[in-house]
Amino acid sequence: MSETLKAKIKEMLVRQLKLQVRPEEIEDDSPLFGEGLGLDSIDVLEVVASIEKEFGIGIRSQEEGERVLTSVNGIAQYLIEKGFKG
Amino acid sequence: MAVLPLDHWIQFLPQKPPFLFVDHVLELEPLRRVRGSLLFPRGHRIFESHLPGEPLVPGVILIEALAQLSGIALVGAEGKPLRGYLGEVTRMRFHRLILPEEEITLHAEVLQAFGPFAKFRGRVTVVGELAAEGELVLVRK
Repeated sequence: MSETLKAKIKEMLVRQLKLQVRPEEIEDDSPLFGEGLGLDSIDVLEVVASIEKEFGIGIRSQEEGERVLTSVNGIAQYLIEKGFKG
Repeated sequence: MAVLPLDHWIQFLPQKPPFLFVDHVLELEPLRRVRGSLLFPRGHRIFESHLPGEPLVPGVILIEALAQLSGIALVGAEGKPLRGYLGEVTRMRFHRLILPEEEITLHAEVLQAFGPFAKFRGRVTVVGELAAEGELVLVRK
């Protein structure tokens, strides 16, 4: 999977959610919510909006979100499935 | 107080007097926007303590009023109202004091909805003048 894409996702998460970590400190498979990055469930709104703004790809349903918004790997896999060529 | 055609939506709110802060629903587009009004009459008991000798509508009550109004916009399938709980308040700013007897107009517009979450932009105006604005998230349970 594209390392460049994953680096972009990490940079986006740090910037948009004002995380107190450096992008390179985020593990590819670290959970976004709860343990891991420590995002709160309400942060899903910001994550979904940020992905759409940054990559032009929306996440339309809660079910899709639960499948995709697991980790940086989960988001990258979804963007590739949706044809993102970054 | 006159009853307006959309006022029946207020009864679906879980909040009841004296903690109900929407008098009228003036406009409603479910899941998009809602506009309402509120007025605290002179002598309202809230002014006994806020503030003694200087009656002002509390800013925190304006936030609650916006949250209650936003809840009216949460209409689900089959036109049934949904219950929302306040999850987040951000970027709230107060631009103007509000006094007894001033007609307060509340505006709430859905910015984003995903799963159980709905983010609103809320504005409070008094005779067209911006008194407060901010964003809040309601969570459906």
